[in-house]
Amino acid sequence: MHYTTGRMDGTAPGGPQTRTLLAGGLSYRIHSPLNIGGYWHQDPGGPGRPLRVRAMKTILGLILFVLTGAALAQAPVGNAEAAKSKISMCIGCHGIPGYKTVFPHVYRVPMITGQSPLYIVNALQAYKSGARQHPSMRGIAQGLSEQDIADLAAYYSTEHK
Amino acid sequence: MKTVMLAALLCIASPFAYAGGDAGAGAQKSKACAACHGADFDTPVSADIPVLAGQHEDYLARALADYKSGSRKNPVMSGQAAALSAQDIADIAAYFSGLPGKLKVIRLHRLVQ
Ligand code: HEC
Ligand code: HEC
Repeated sequence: MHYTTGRMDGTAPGGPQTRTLLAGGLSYRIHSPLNIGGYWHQDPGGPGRPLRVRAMKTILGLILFVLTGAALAQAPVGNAEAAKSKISMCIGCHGIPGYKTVFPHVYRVPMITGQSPLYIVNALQAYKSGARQHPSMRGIAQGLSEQDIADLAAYYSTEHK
Repeated sequence: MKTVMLAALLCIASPFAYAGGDAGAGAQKSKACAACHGADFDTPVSADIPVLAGQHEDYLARALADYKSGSRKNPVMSGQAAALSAQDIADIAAYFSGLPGKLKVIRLHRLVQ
């Protein structure tokens, strides 16, 4: 594909039609790696198809923008204090030294205090998604919100005397 | 005869049942693992990598067996575990679990008043 490029302030070629399309600007700038830094690009292939293509790109860009925004808003900050009301769900297994799980295999429940918050979040998400399959941990993880997971990860990764 | 058959059956049923690992052999076999999990296996090189030092031996063996069988899915560790035999897994688990490390259990009796 061939593009001509110019500044976002409209000083370069393009004319009114291009400017109008770019008025949908914010999302357009976000989705396209080709105009990072305030550059726009114009498909020179005439007004028919490129117009539709650009409109589609704008819509896609908007969707992407909304999704990215949602994802950012969703990453909660963990609070170890808040976890104290939630660990009652965990201590029956993770709070007893040497406690064994028996189903589907017999082995000691892992020590989790001291792992990094990111690793703990990843583990709980993996039980939630099914990438890890231990039945009791899956059941427990499925009942946890994103905020619960962040709080529990903060709690179990913190030093406890 | 019955005992032999029972023993054979048990072996088939649980190929990764704890086989009695040799920590010395595990130290040799886990040299490549240190690149990510840290030379002391207590200080991983990035936050998405777990501490292994001092973790329970049977849990470590289970985790490696699960990566190998595909029942625990992770693109990095599946590749690492694929090449390990049941004996390698037992040896490595014996080695890691004997290392000093920061993992611990916050005891239940300290949490419930
Ligand atoms: C019924 C017993 C039980 C309860 C209750 C329980 N867990 Fe677990 N947990 C386990 C077992 C068993 C495993 C190992 C499962 C496996 O092999 O994947 C595990 C694994 C984990 C892991 C992964 C450890 C690792 O090294 O990868 C994390 C993190 C975890 N649990 C956190 C929690 C939290 C947080 C809670 C409370 C919300 C909780 N667990 C409640 C039994 C339990
Ligand atoms: C390229 C980096 C890398 C290398 C090399 C590597 N690991 Fe890992 N390991 C990881 C990551 C990342 C995870 C966490 C994966 C997950 O979330 O399931 C992990 C997880 C593990 C776990 C699970 C621990 C738990 O608490 O559940 C074990 C056991 C393990 N590795 C053992 C090994 C062994 C043994 C080797 C060498 C044969 C090895 N690793 C080599 C990156 C690595």
